[in-house]
Amino acid sequence: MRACEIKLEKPDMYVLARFLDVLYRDGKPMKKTNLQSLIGIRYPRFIEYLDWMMTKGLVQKLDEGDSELYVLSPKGAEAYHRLVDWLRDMMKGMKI
Amino acid sequence: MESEGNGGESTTRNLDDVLRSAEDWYIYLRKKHDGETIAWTVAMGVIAWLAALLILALSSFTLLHVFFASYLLEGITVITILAVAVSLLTYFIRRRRAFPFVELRNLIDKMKNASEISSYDYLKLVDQMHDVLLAVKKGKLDSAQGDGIVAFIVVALFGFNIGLGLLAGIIVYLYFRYEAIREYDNETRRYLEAKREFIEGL
Repeated sequence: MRACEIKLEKPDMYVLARFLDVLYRDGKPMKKTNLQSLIGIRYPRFIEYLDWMMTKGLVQKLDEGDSELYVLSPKGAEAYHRLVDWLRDMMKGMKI
Repeated sequence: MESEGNGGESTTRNLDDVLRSAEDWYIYLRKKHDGETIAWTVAMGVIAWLAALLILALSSFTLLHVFFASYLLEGITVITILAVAVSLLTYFIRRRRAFPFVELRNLIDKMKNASEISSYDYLKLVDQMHDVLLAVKKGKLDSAQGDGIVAFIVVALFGFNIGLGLLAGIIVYLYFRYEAIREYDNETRRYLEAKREFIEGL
């Protein structure tokens, strides 16, 4: 986990937004492969982001039988709302 | 998650607000840019025409030691063509600079017609708005030149002193140029810091 944090010193906001969007909108636990195809980034990069988000407590892993499923945690849902607020605030701050 | 009641509703409402505000912002900026383009086109044409007329009059006086009417009249046609060319050049340069506006308009239209818009799209929208804002701030560097020219003309005309006019023009130009660069840097820093703070706050 520590290695992932070092690798993702500057996470891309677009990728984070994509993660939050996909998990927030669907709301259901998702398999890694489904999540990756919806986010649309290469697998090694996807794993780095997924690990980073889990380290931050934004995504939770659910062990259901032999499959691993991922879902947005309450902290992740809050992060999504914060992202929307951030977008609105940034727009308000754009003064000519 | 979408059906989580007030949180989900207010999020959707906030995102709708973002799109509506973006469109209002775009319309205001576009009108402002178009108005300034017309003003610049006319002003540059008039300045080019007057400057060429002055050069023509002075050259006729220097060469012939008298203001020769027919020489001036023939010259006026040439300087009018020159002034129109300068105006057109100004117009096309400013139109080319409106490119970020076109991209923003296309993005807003695309989002308005989309069945589902994600925060990813809104992030793109805010980034595009930021690019437009930077283009506007950069455009203030041109305005600084215009302000300098106006200061030069006013001081040179009313002070009857070209040297003083030149000094006033340079001071005004440097001041507004400094302000434009400062605003540009501040906006760039503000946006990058806000992004960094958001990610760090996760």
